[in-house]
Amino acid sequence: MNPSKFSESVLRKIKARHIKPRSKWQFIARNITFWGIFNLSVLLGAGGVSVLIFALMESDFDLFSELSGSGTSLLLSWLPVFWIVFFVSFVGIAMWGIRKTKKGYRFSVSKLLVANVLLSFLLGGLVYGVGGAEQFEKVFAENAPMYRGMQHRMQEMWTQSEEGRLSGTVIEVQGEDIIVLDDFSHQQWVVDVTAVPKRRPLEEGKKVKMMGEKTGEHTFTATMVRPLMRRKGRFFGEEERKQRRTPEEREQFRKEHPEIQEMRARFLIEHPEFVREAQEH
Amino acid sequence: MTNSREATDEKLVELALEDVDWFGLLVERYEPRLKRYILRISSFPIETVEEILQDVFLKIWKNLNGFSGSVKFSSWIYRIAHNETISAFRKAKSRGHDQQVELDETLFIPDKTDFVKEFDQQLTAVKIKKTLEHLPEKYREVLVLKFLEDQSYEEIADILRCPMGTVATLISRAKKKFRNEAEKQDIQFTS
Repeated sequence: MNPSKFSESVLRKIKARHIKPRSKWQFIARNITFWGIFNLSVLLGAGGVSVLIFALMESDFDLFSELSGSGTSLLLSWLPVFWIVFFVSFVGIAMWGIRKTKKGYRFSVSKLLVANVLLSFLLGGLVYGVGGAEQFEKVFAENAPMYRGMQHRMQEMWTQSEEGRLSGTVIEVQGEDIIVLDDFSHQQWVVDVTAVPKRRPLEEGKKVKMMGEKTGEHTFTATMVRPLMRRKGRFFGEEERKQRRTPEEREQFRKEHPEIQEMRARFLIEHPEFVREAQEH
Repeated sequence: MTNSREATDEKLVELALEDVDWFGLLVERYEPRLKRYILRISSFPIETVEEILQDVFLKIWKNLNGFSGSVKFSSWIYRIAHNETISAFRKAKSRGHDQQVELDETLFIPDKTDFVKEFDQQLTAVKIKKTLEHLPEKYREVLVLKFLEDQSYEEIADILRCPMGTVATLISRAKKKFRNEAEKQDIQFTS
């Protein structure tokens, strides 16, 4: 088949089958779609990074050595695995998307990976800086069925009184030494905080986590007290403000919960040194 | 028509999009090169190559609006030819029809002298062909593009859709493999 015959045959086929070139818009749309996938993935990855930073900042790694339990399971419960997987997935999708664009193949995979990760961290850092991480996380906690949310995770991790971890809302501050804590299963605890070094004044309504020892059914001796979340994000901060009560509300609460006064009285009988110290002061 | 034969590929693409008959000129211009290329990378029988080539040009026609001039037209159509050939090759292999034929050695006479310099001036087309046949697909295709099709690194990157750095690495590895394979087959190099 000589060249002209070959070209004639090709043209004959095109005409006989009425083959038309695909519209230019299809190619433009395809390119825009893949750029869109890339941009969206970078943004979502950055959102993931912001929550990752948020989660790591709240992770209390300094306490890791003091916790009891197996190292691996503790580390897994400590690390924000969901957000690590989330971030890595979107880095992967972004890489796939950009390489499908018209000229995406020209970028080297390693350079693209470094640029993608740097961009995600830069944007993620910005999002975290302006407080968007909590918002982003909240959207997930409310809408993703498999995701339980960081607040829930923190509460679970810090509601293990037998392991020496307790968390909840401060509902009573009695002097400088005793607080009454309402944990997240709404069980009240009388907590001795005298052993806490350099403690800041505790306020009612504040969500805190503490390490120490369970000393009775509803009593706990704390050696460390920290705000449940270090950063007062929009949600936690507002919740805390809502839970701060007026003196009238406090009085009302005391009337409604006489058991707290009973628990405090029991605590003082069991710990007479408190009464002595209070009298000395 | 004399002037149109001298027209650039880009101009012919524009004209072809208005009138399909102009596409015939592009087909004529690239048919010998693409046929040779498909033969070099596939070793398919000539009838199969012509079928693949028909499909290649039909695909080029269908996607003509996708050619934007961001790459050379020749790289763009080589890419389509490459993809169609590899796809036909894999299909044939999966059906157990990957029969290959002895090719004319002249297909393996390189145009570039530096290839000859690099791999021994006495290395004949027969030896090149014999050695290439034993190389894995990815090395064979990159050597064919670089040294037999005389494509630049940038063009090869556009044809294989990979970064230029990857092309350089592939060529370097392919050259090593080529030397090793040649040694295995007792093909001598001059020092």
